[in-house]
Amino acid sequence: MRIGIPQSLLYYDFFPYWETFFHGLGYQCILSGKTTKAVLDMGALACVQDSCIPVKLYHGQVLSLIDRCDKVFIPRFRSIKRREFICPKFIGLPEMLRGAGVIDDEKMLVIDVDGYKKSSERHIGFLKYAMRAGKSKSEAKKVINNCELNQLKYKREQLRKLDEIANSDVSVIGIIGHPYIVYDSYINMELAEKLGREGYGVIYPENIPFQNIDYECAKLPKRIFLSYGRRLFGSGMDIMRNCRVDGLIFLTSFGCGVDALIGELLEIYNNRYFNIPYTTLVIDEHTGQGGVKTRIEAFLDMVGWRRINGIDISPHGSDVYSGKGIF
Amino acid sequence: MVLTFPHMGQMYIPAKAFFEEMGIETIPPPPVTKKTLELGTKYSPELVCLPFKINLGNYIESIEKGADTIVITGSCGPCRFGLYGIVQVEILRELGYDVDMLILDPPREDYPKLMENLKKLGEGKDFKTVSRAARKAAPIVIMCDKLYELAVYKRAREKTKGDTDRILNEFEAATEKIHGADGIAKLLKQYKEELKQVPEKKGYKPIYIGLVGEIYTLIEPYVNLNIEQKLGLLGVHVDRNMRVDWWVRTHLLPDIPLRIKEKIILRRGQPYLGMCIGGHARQTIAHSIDYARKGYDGIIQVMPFACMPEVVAQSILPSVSKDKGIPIMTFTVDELTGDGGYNTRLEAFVDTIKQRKRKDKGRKRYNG
Repeated sequence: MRIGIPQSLLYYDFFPYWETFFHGLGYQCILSGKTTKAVLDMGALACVQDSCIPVKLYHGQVLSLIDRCDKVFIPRFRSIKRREFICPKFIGLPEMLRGAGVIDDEKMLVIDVDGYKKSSERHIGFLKYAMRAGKSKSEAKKVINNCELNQLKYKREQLRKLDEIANSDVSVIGIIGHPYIVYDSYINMELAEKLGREGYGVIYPENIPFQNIDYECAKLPKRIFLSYGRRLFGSGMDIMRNCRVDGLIFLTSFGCGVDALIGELLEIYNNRYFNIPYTTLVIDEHTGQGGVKTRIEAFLDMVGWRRINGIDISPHGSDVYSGKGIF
Repeated sequence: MVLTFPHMGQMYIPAKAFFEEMGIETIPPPPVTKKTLELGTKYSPELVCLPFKINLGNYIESIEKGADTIVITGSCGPCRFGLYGIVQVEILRELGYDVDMLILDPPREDYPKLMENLKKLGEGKDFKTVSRAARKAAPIVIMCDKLYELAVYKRAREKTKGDTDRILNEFEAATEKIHGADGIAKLLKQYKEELKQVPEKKGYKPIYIGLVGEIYTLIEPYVNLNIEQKLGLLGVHVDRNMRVDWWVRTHLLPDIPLRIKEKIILRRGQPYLGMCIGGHARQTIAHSIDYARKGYDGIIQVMPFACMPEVVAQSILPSVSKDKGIPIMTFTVDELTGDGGYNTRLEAFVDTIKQRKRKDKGRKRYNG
């Protein structure tokens, strides 16, 4: 059987897992391919208007896949960690697609991912599907183990990148955003490439170790119960606190519910404690690159000037940049 | 400690009664006006949903009147409402207001923290005082909602347009001067009698429209641009699935018959949306089906712009509309306050429903 996998949303986080899983069952994986304007337009027409751009893109990816495969894999992510949730749109994704008339029930391959009660329960959906596909229990478990191993390998590789960048002597810009925005170079208008051309290295939230993220989140008066909100907030704070970067770009899509609050928190804390160059880029279906280019250039100028002109010796008892007292 | 809380429709009446019975000084925020919205929008993040902005405006206005502690409920569901508290308090601190925010989370989240917050709220009052206050305030929630329910009934059928709203306005003005639960209960009874006396048009059969959607936008009249009143003046009987007393009875009181009823309604929505996805998206779908079953003529979904769960509901509702044969319209509200376009859309919707009703007269009608 040929399984179609839309290259959007959490694909960028979990594709080693999914690929190993379907190969383990003897299926063939067909990827929807890189985002193009045609795909995005198709999705924007099919989806409700108030939705955010990644969800619209997902609609487009499913539409472009539908004729090329037997079934389209649509995971229903409810929770990937104990007592944490993911954005509500992910939970209702199959219903949204059905309601928009994009895909029928027979063509959908929905697997529930729900680790709300216990983190390890998130495999149960996959395990059950493997057994329904004709594997015995032990075989299915072996497949799931393989998936886990490959997923871990991928995560470790991402973490290793942090050390690589810290040891090299290029200056670094942090890009904070959901994986489906920061890794999709079409919708973020090749932000990483643009920075690379100017000679800057880039780090992402996925490069920050989990324990650092938990440490930062524990300082808040209330637990953040959204997994990705947690990752963005924790990694942003960790990057700022440990001076890992010369500047921070918060990349968000128009209409993203989580980012509106997390971005505000990061901005407030940056103004209050850290004072590093910080900017927010909001993206939508707009395809003109001019505005984004100008803003990135202005931001990089600011970062560059600070590196040349900034003096790290402060007047007695005050902060270098803000001039406010720190004691 | 001078306490304040955000507005949510008529919730301030029982809340005021409760805290006054307990002997805690309370400043209910001034009614939501354009100024509240402007204050809120100015200091909130741009892309956050409308309730956040109104709440922030409420806080700033009541802090300027002298409040220093804010009490709100929390949640830990997938909806971002649960994150409101921590962001709002940081914004207020950034503005230079030194306030304390008490977030009352559900007990299974962080029990010691909840007890600590409740103790702070109780100011060393003993259990007897608190339970007495709660027992006195709980009927007010229900009585207050009964009054507004009656108002909706009367408004659609009143002989002289505007009678009902005049009485309601008088009632709202009178509550501000009254102190304590007993006074408010007396006032509620008095105005209910007065409302009953409003003369009705004889033999008038209104059309029935159900309102579903996000709880805050449904309950707070300023935010939904008085949709209930507007429809009422067009001669429409409006019913909404979210009410303060509904929330209190299904969440706080052991009202088992109502909970069972709610479960049955939710089960009917199973084929469209089988699980809770946060907020009230599931209730939106289930109650739309319920209204269709009851023979309502139309449904309007109200939601704030960029509400995460309701976007999912919005994309499912067209298939409900197709299957059940009932017109459904979605209203997205944001900080734009011009209601011209809004009125036109409402009138057009009501007109189409009237024409449709004339066409097929044999359909089952909702009676009572």
